[in-house]
Amino acid sequence: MSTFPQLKTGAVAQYPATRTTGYATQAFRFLDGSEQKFPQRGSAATRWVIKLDLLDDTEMAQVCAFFQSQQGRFGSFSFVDPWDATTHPSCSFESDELALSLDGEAQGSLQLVIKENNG
Amino acid sequence: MLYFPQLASGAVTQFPCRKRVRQRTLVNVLADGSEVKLFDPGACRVEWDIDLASLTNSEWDAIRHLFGAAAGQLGTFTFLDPFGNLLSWSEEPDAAPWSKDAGLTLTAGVADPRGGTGATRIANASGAPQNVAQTAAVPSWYRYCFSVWARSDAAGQATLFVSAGTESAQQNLAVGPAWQRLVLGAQLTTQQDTTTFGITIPGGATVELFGFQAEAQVGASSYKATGTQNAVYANVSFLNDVLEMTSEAPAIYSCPVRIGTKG
Repeated sequence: MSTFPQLKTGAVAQYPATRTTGYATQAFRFLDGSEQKFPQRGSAATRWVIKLDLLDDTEMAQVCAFFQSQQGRFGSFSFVDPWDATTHPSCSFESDELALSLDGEAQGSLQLVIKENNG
Repeated sequence: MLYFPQLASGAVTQFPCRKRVRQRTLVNVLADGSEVKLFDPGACRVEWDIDLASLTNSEWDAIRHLFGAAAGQLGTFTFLDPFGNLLSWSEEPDAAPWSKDAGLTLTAGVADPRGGTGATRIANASGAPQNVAQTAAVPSWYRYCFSVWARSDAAGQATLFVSAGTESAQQNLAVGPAWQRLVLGAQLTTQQDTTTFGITIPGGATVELFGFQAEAQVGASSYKATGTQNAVYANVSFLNDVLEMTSEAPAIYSCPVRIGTKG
């Protein structure tokens, strides 16, 4: 299982970083107003928005090569949560598209969304 | 063969430059929330948004000529990705795209200047200079920067070269016990569709090399490791049929260009 690459600093994310935790609950509401709910998956799924700025060419190429090796959202990889250092063994990119921007020397930027796989 | 032109600065693009990598995955979400995925390799695309500014007459003419020759988005041309490295297998000179002379012995897995083991020790047991080189499908008359990290236990020299046909640009560079990046900038005049980038190891010498990189620009940028895919995209087209030019001042033009790999 491959691992999301680290930047030169050793970090995988920069500020501002966003992490969301989500459940998928199916709810049926009846005529009398009561509800019946059941979980669609067993546990909460985590999602990280990774915004990276001031990257140099090496770091940009590294992330781009990793995205291509994962074939977009098809592949799965392990990701170390930058918030609590927990390793999530099965994660994927949320999108099939990666946009890279180079605004100057060592001024590359990109944004990725990583989500924890269910099942 | 058509090529996206190089500007007078020696660069192919200007800042800011944007690149998009598009993949396609079919996803079936099952009732329990789990997913079944199928990757569609045929739908993969790479696109670039290039905002060119302060172009001279000749630069603008080159862009316009390419657009005309390609007939808008109909035809294809070769684009040298400024985000990448023109050489394949940049850390594996024993891989197929590299040609090695018979007198050389290559040992992979040697400690590299980044703390890994991506360097290769190359020993020349013969008495004559021997080459390690890779030929890339890039126009020979463009300006290139070829670079590689090198070290040697014994102080000596190595020769970087860029060649095409019978023309060659080369430079002897000192190699010592400390890792240093050897850099050669070159622009040939011959008109060939391939260019060879290589290093000559003197007879009896042993050097350790890491991170071969060739770029269509004047100086070396940060190193980009490559595998099969290098920065040469031979099947690129314009993404629309209109090329818009703005004249900013006498003989100064700007022009946004959107190009992408063709399916």
